[in-house]
Formats: sequence, structure tokens, C-alpha cells
Amino acid sequence: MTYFDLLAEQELKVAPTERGWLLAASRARKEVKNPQDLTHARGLFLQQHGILNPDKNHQGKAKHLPCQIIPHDLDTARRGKEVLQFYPNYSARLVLEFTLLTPLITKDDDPFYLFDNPARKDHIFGVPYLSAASIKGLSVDAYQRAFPSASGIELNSEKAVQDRVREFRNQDEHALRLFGIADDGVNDNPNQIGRLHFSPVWFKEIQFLVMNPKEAETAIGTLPIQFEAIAPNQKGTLEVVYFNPYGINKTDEQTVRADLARWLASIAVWWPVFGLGAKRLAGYGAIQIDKATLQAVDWTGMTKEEMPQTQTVVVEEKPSTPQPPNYYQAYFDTDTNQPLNEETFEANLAAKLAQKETEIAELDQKWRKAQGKARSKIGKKLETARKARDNLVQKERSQYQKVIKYWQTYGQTVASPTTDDEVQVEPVVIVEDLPIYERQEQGENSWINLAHWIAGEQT
Amino acid sequence: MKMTALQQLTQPNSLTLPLKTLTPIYTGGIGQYGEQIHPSGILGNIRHFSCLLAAAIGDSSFETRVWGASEDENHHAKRVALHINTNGLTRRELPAQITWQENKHQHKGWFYNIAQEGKFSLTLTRRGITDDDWRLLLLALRIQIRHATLGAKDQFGLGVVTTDQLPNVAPWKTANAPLSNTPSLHNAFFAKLRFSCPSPNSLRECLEAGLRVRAYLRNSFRHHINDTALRHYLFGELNQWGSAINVSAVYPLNDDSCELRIWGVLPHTTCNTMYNQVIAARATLLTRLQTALKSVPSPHWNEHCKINVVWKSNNTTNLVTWINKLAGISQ
Repeated sequence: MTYFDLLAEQELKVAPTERGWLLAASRARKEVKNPQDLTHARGLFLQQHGILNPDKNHQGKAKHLPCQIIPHDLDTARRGKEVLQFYPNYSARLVLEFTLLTPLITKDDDPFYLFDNPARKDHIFGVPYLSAASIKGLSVDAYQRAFPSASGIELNSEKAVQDRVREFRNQDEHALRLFGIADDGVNDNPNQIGRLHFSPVWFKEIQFLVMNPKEAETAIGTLPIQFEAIAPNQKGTLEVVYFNPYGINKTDEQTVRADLARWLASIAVWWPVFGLGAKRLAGYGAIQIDKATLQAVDWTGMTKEEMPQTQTVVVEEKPSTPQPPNYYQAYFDTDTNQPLNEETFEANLAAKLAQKETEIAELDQKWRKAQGKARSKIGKKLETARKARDNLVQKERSQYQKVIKYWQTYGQTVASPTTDDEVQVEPVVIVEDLPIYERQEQGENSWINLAHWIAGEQT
Repeated sequence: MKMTALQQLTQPNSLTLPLKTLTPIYTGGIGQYGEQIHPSGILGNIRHFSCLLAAAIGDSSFETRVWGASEDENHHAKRVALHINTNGLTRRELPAQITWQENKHQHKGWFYNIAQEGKFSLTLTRRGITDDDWRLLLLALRIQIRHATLGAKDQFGLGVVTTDQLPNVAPWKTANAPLSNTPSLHNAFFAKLRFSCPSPNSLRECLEAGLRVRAYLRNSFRHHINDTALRHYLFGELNQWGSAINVSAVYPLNDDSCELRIWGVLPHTTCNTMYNQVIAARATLLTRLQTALKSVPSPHWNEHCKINVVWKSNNTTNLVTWINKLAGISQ
């Protein structure tokens, strides 16, 4: 029986369990036919599940409702340094730990839930989380506040959001590398994937909140609004990976460190002030920073106390004597063991060109006699034939020169040339050990301290 | 490696206000228990009080400019962020019910659960708020801390706070005519009863002392024909009106004296029939309250204690002077 079958089952009796509240909330909406039913259902649910030992006045502490814990393999933040095992050089991973001081509101969009403001939960396991997209958005906001543009483009409300985003990231190379840019092909700048990869932050407990704004006309609140929120005093662990792409510009260690230092510093300074999630400006989602862990591939400045792990890297190495091109034999005189002399080359070339020259002459004759559209058509064929002849001449001469150069460099005859046109290289695999180091900082200033260290401003 | 990646790091423009409770602070919750401080409760209080001040100086768009708007095309988030650090607060269990016998009448019906006491802080961070709006907000905070209350159940004794680090603010200079049809600080009154004796020994007695004063004041509105509706409007009536008048519990000033606060905005609602009635009779109402306070009975915990009434309401033609005086700022 699927979960949806369970919800639809009329006669289902659910034995009360510690985590049965989630199923109870999902099923309670099923019986609601009108707003009065909904108010009654919500009140009953809160008395049964949301409040701890309610007294005769239905009052009591807000209960912290347990959820299923995310399966270990899906909680990427729990992984160790092995995450970076196959990442390119200078890639890094940050694991940032914090404590929620106030409830975290992360609104889901479940239309059949008992309450209008459910917390966002994984739809399979029912585990509450702060999504990776939310974290990226919150860190983009923090970055723009920490490193505002000179023009203030990020605050220009007259421009569309996409334009503001594009212009801000194009004027800040760090932001462009960190967050990337999504372009739908309407602008000249191509898409660029960000180097930062975010993971969700998983939590374990939910609690209910209520807000009951006073009406201006009576100074009393008559429409309480319930919110389902992630309960405070829980630890959260955020994992962010900086993927340093291989073989392009700006992938040196200094660039990676500058990028990552700026990102970490911006959230270290601004997240404790603004908090996370919805209604954060009102004080919800407040955090206390606990710990920061950095893992990095072959960064300089890591001390011997840190534990290196080796990483296998495949490197292609050129052999000492390259193979000659596949056309080598065509320009080589086996009698003299040298390339053809120029006279012989030109004679061979003339023979190859003879047929093309005849074709060109015939087309030229026809073109002179033709008129109108026919002349234009023949003219195009004549042009194509001339180009083909010229290309053949160019190719022959180029190949001839390459054969001469190879012979002058290596002075060898070769029995089995390669199939490609260019000089071929046999890759030689070299296993290179790249250490992965780790560094940790603890306490309320751990994130900013680590940011300063990454930036090279602390020893 | 010499790098300057963080040289341009911009720090938040924040003000942190360390506060200490004089009476416990409470913000309700899903079970009305008070075991947590809910940010929305504190924010709502601060927002409301700042809007009272803005209405007094005739600023009709302060609320949307500062506290955000979601419905019009100029919708935007709040221009100031609030962060509450409650690490220094501890739970205080309050009496479940407070009652007392007075002659043949049994006073009963004040119920409490848990509140929080100790030290906490408010951090306000600017997010594009103008300098003038910021100044008005800080001015309102100064007045609220010095004379009013914070949080819920402040009509029943809770929510008095203090600080020795009030934010520095320049005096306010100009004001337009106060807004009509809306609660405004120019219609507020602030009073303190100062007792020349130590505060009661228990929190229960401190709460009871405030409730006795409240009951006494409420009783002073039982002498005239129209008093019933007025009494309900001023002191609250279940499912009808919130209380306009707040009376705090007694709190110590030093070893030898204590006080309680009484404050309110008359009228405290937007325009309705009671609003117009209160506006018309405001001067009379304030006089009745002031007269009643001068004859408040001796405190139940110390019959020999002398009481001094400190009264502040807007009797002057210079509203700006009154506002600066309330904020404790010399011009």
C-alpha cells in the first residue's frame, strides 16, 4: 500500500507513534468541509500533537515534534574528506556548523496540508530542511551586502531582477565564478556554471508557532495564523563545495582562495545579523555560529599536524620521439632515404592537379559562353573548382614541408606511421599524489576567522 | 601569500541595545505558555510604538517606508532587521492565578504561566532606512523603554525593561499636525507611582500590587451612566476590546523604593464610535485618571508607604518639546 493509498483509506486506524503526527496532519485535512471544520481540526490537532500536556485551559509548552532522520547516505554534510578524492587541484570543501536560536520558517507548498504554512520537508522521508537553493539565495544576498558594487546595481529596483543579477556578477569576477550566471540566450554573455555547489541543511524537529496580529479597530487579535517551523536549539550543518575547473583561466590557488574567502566572510558577517529563512528580518531563523571545517586539495600553508590524504591524478606525458604523420611515406624517397627533392615534388603535384586544371578549363569555356542564370550557376561551379585546386596545392605544400621538418629534426625513416594528420602523442599515465588537508576553527568567530585565514590575512 | 580579498568587506550598520527586565517579559506562543520569546511579538510591539510616534508628528507613510509593504507595486521588505539575543534570559514561573479579597468582593481572574527575566539584547540593522526614519525609530525606542512596556500581557504587569545604554539620538526638530483617525503618541499618557518603601518580597506580590492599582482604576469608572462602555474600552473586554491602559507590576528602583508604570494611548484604536467618544472626552478622561491616581490606596504590602505620582501627558502646544522630553533628550 502506497503512502497515498494510506491517506485515502477510509477505515484506516493509525496507531499513535512518536512520528505519527505527520500522518495525522496529512489526514486531518481530509475531513474538512468548511472553514469552521478547518478551525476545529487545527485546534484539535494542536491540542493532541502541538502542545505538551495541555492544561484545562488548553495551554502548555510548544512541543518539539520529531521527524525521521535523513538517511546517512543522503546527508552529504556527514561525509569526510573523501568527497574531494577525485576533484581537481585546489578544489575545496567547507562544512559549517551553527545552532538555531529562533524557529526557522521554510514555507512548503503542500495544498492539502492541515495548516497553511507547513515547514518544507522532503516529500519522501518527511524530513524538514533548508533547501540548497535557499542557501544559495541567502548567500548571494549576503555577498551583495558584503561586497556591494560601486554603481549600486543590485539595489536598482527599476531594473528587472535578471538584469540586476547579470550586471552585478559581470562586474565582480569573484561573484561570477562563485555563483555563475544563467542566461537564456538573449544576451551576448554565455552561461557560466558557478563553482560553488550547495547542499541542503537537514533538521530533526518541528514546532508550531502562532501569530495573532491585533486588529486596528479593536486592538485584539481574532485570526490567529499558525506556522509550522523548524524548532530552535537544533544544530545545522551546511556543506559547500568549491569545484575548481581544470585547464581554464583563473584556476590557480590564489584565485580559489580569494573566491572562497569572500564568500565565507560575507555569510560570516551577515547571516548572524539577518538570520535564515522566511521572516528572518523579524528575528526568525537566527543562528549562532559554532564551527568551520575547511578541506582543500593541495593548498599551501597547511601545517604538518593536518592529515593529508592522497589523491590520484592522471597526467598525460609526451614521449621523447614523436611518430611521423600518416602521409610521410607519400613524400619520402626510399631510394635516397630522404624526402622528395623539390623538382620531384612539383612534378607529382602537377600530375595531381592535371585533372582539376582540365575541369577548370572546361568550366571556364562554358562560363564564357553562358548567359543569365546559367552563367551564374556555372560561375559558382568554376569558383568551387578553383578553390578545390588551391586547397589541394596548399595542403600538398604544407604536408611536404612538415615531412621535411620531421626528417630534419629526427632524421629517420618510419615503417608504420599513425592514422591522424597531426603528430600523435602516446599518453603516459603518471599517478600523482595530491594531498587533501583539513583545518578547523571553533566558536562564534570560527567562520570569519577561517575566511581571514583563507585570504592569507592570518597565519 | 599577501592578499587583499577581504579588504572591501562591508560590515552591517547595526545598533545593539542591551536590556534588562524589571518585570518578566512574555510573548505567548502556540500554547500561550511563554517558554520562548517569539520575535514577532517583540517586533510587533516596537513597530506599533514607532508608528504611534510617527502619527504624532504627522508622518502617514512611515509604517510602509520602514516596516515594509506587500500589496502595492512599490512592495518591499522591512528597511530594518531585528535580532533578539535571549541568552541571558531565564524562565520564571508565574503564579497560575492571582486573587485577593477586598471587603466582600473577591478579585480573581488574572492567569499567568511562564515568563522570562534577566538580560537580553535587541540588535537593529539598517537595510536602507533613511537617517530621519532611523532617528525616529530610535526616539520611539527610547520613549518605549523609559515609559512604556514590551511584549504581551503588559496590561497585567509584564514587560517593563530598562537599559543603561539608551541609543544616542539628536533632538527632533519639526512636526506636522498629528494624523487623525489613528492612534497617536500625542494622545498618550505616561504615569509612574513611586513608592518610598522596598518592593514586595515575592514576584506574586509585585504582580498583585499592579493588579490592585489596575482594579482600582477600573473601578473609578463605575460612577457615571456612560461608564460601562468606556470602562470596557479603556481596560479591555473579552472578545470586544483590547486594553488601552497598561499597568505594570511593581519593580524595585533601589533598596528603599520601588515603582510601577501606567501608560496608555487614548484612543488606542482606529476610527470607530468609541474612538470619537474618547477623542471628545479625552481631557476629562485624563483628569479622572490623574485624580484617581492621586487617591490610590496604600500598597497592600506596606500600608505606611508614601506614594508619589509622576504624570506626563501632552498638555503643551509644543509637541516636539514634549516628545524630546519623553525621550530624555535635551534640546
